[in-house]
Amino acid sequence: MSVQPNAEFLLKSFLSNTDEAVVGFDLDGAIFLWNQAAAELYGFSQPEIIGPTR
Amino acid sequence: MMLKDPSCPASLSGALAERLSKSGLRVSVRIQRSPVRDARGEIIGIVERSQALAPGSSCSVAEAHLRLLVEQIPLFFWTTDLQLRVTSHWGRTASLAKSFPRYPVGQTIYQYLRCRDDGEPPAKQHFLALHGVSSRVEYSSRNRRYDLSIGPYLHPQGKIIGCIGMALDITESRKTEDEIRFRASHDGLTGLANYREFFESLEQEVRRVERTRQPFALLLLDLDDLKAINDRLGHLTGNRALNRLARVMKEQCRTTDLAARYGGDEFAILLLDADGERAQNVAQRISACLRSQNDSPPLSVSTGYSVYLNDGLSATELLEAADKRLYQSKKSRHSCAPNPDNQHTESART
Repeated sequence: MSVQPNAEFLLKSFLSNTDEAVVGFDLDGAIFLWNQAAAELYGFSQPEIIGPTR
Repeated sequence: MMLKDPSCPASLSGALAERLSKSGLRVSVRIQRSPVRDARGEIIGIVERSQALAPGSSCSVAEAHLRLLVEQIPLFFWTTDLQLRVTSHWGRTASLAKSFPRYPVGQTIYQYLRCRDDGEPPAKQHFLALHGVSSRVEYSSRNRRYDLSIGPYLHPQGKIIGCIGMALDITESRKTEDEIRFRASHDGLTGLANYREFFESLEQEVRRVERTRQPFALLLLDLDDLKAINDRLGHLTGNRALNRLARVMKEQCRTTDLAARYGGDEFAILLLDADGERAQNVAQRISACLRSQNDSPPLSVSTGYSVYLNDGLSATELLEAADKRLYQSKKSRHSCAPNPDNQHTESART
């Protein structure tokens, strides 16, 4: 039986490795998800968009 | 910012959108959007995936930043390959969007700069550049004027691999220059050439006639009684009188002639390819025109002419000869009509 990586780790590594810009926002329009590709496409780094700690 | 748009639909597949990036550049993207639900199935947010469309718009942040900076200069650059196809394009495309294609990479310079003939600028300069010659040329396209610099595009090893071009939009500065030049050479009140412009043209004509031997004539005109008009009817009326004479002079001139305001109430016309007879004709027509006007005060002019060769060989000699005749005509006018000042102004008042 192989080791099952936990879901959060899997999701994070997927998000930072995809070349699709992935952005998540809540119903108020506030951005809570901003991956590496989004930073490259739009020029804003993750801390600039979401804030330093979240 | 760009994504905070609550009105956007929660589900979307393959929609195209244009977004603004940090460097101010527009990025075309294809969007996939799906709702985020909580455990009870209520929508609590949206996840959006986007990918850049045009290969050109997915340039690096550093390049986009540089492009933004370059776009602040009223300038644009391009590079071409050996077949004169545009390989890159930098600069202020937005302001030139009407006269230049927006995505010119891959087009030939004929399309890019809207030119046709290989032997004419700016295509000619591109061919020169391919032979290693840098050149500069002024070029007009669609009512705008550009200062083009075109040179060879050198590979680091020194081989010519195309051209580098640069264009500076000089439409506005050229307009200003033209206006300054006009103001420096023309009389502000009447719009006729001023003394300096007239004298320079006269000297130029003297030099030219030494080669061509085509005679020309000079006509001096003096607006009679300007001082009396100014004193009795005011300077505004005096200015209007000057303008009336200037208009009549323009009407009676050929386009090759040069009409000028020579001094306060003195005017002059340089009549090209003309003899004494034509000069007298023009003088008579101007006098007749003024006489036929119904405006008040009635205006009249004293005139004197001179003709190249008969009356002199230099600008000064010609002016002196014309001035002498003008003085004589003034004197004879005064002896014929003892007091024309009063006659004119009296008739103007009634």
